[in-house]
Amino acid sequence: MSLNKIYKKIPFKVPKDYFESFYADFFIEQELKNKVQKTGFKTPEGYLNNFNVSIPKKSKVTNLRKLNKKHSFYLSGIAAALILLFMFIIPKKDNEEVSLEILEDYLLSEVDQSDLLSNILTMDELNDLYILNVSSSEIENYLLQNASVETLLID
Amino acid sequence: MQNEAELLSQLKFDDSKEFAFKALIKRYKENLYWHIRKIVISHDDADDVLQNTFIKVFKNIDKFNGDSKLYTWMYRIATNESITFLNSKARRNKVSNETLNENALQNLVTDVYFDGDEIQLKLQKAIAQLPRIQQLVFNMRYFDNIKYRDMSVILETSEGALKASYHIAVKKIKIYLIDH
Repeated sequence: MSLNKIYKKIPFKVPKDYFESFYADFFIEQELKNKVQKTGFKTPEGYLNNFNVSIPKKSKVTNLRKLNKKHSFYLSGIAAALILLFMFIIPKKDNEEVSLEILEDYLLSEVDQSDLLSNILTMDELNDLYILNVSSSEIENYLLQNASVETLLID
Repeated sequence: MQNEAELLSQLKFDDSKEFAFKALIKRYKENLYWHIRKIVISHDDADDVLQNTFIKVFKNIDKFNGDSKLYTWMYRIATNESITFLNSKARRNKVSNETLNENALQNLVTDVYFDGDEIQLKLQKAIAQLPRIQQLVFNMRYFDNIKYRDMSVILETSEGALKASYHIAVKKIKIYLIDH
């Protein structure tokens, strides 16, 4: 075999039917775009031109120690644990719904949402938690044995 | 118009922060609004989430370290805020996310801020039956033509996985439209 032929032979392979499916995908997308290109959503007249954001005022400096990221993470974890505790342990009362709403509003406005269990999980996944067989004493033991929580409390 | 680096440096100083933030709103409000709107469907919800997104940007701009583009960082916040909003709304209404989605689509028929034709309504229904990640990828690619590289930063997923998600989404939508 000549050197020219060796160099011209490409050593790469593609998955089976790659080019066929590539063209098929492309044409499916084009066909769709020929039928519909826009969402159909609209805004109230002048909405975007007039849109403005109320910039939050700087909160007053207090003598409270600013929480570092590590502490915020622990607090978020504790908040999530408390929500679960409310769900599992506290018996249903007439004012339970209101209390949870107030708690949720507080968490929504004051706590970084990205760490909260309730926002990581979907409604279905949260519902699945109800069927977990975890007793109140087990949750309590877990929290007591968690060194990080104790450290935080001592701090 | 200021470039992104100038805007960013102004946002980090107290004296110029408010002025720069207004410029930031002016520049990105429209793109972010339509991105959010496609996720939450209703205008009122999109308005709430857009407000929350900008407030979060304002509060956290000091933490933005410039590893990514400012716009991909803001899109990521907008996406997370939208999903958080929907999860929270589903919980408050005591319904599943799927039911919430179905209700939003039913309301779309009579929504004064939707003037789509039959095929646009069907497309929204087709998108709604996709898993959430495919919905996001489809909307960002199909309507906004966002590059996979940027999408990969926004959704924290590999480009390969996003391309696969998009092609699967397109195929599913095509099948849905044929069946309905």
